[in-house]
Amino acid sequence: MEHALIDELSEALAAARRGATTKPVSVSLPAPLADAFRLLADHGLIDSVSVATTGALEEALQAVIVGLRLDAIYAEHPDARPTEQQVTQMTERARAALS
Amino acid sequence: MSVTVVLDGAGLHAWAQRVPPRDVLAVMEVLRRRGAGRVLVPSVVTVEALTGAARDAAVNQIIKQVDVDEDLPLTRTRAAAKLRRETAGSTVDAVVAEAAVRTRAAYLITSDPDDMAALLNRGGGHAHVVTV
Repeated sequence: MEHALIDELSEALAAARRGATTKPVSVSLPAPLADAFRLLADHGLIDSVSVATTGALEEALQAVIVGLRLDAIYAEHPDARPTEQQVTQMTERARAALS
Repeated sequence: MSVTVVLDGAGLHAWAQRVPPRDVLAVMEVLRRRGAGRVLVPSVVTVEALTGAARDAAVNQIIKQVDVDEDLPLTRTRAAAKLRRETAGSTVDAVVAEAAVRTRAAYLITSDPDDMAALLNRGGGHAHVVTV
């Protein structure tokens, strides 16, 4: 089940990155956020609200796919899970790039 | 803020393992917890990572789950060549390092930390090099 879900999500992500056809969808955003992104587009700081939204959704989907794979690994190999200290250390090691 | 993780051939193999190395899992945990990111693999990496044989199955499976960057215009190859000058890095290494610098990657997973660190330094990249 998990692997099938990962495959399906991965295929969707890959297709989006290849430039799949688009379709209009209606989403509700906090009004100030929607206004801010419209402003960014008007000032040429982003290509469009749609492009910015697509990029953000792709990155969120990538994180979910990675998380599902991690959970699948931990389910089969509980001892493989890194400790909180190891995750914290890894975050600290990339502080310069993440800041 | 999202997290970008760049993989070279060894990094790709490491993430494709049934049980990836602990440091690789920790990197991916960081990405998961940030809630946004990219696992980026320049397509030229697959020249080193794939053999065309049945044992490629695990790597091919992971390739479907990551962002394989198939775009390598002349501007990027020139930037990679500039990084490579006076270093021992290979052509593929230089392309990988250029991708890490350009995307402001947080992590670069590789089996060749010394050459990658030298390439990153030349480009002003701050990625943390994770050795596998």
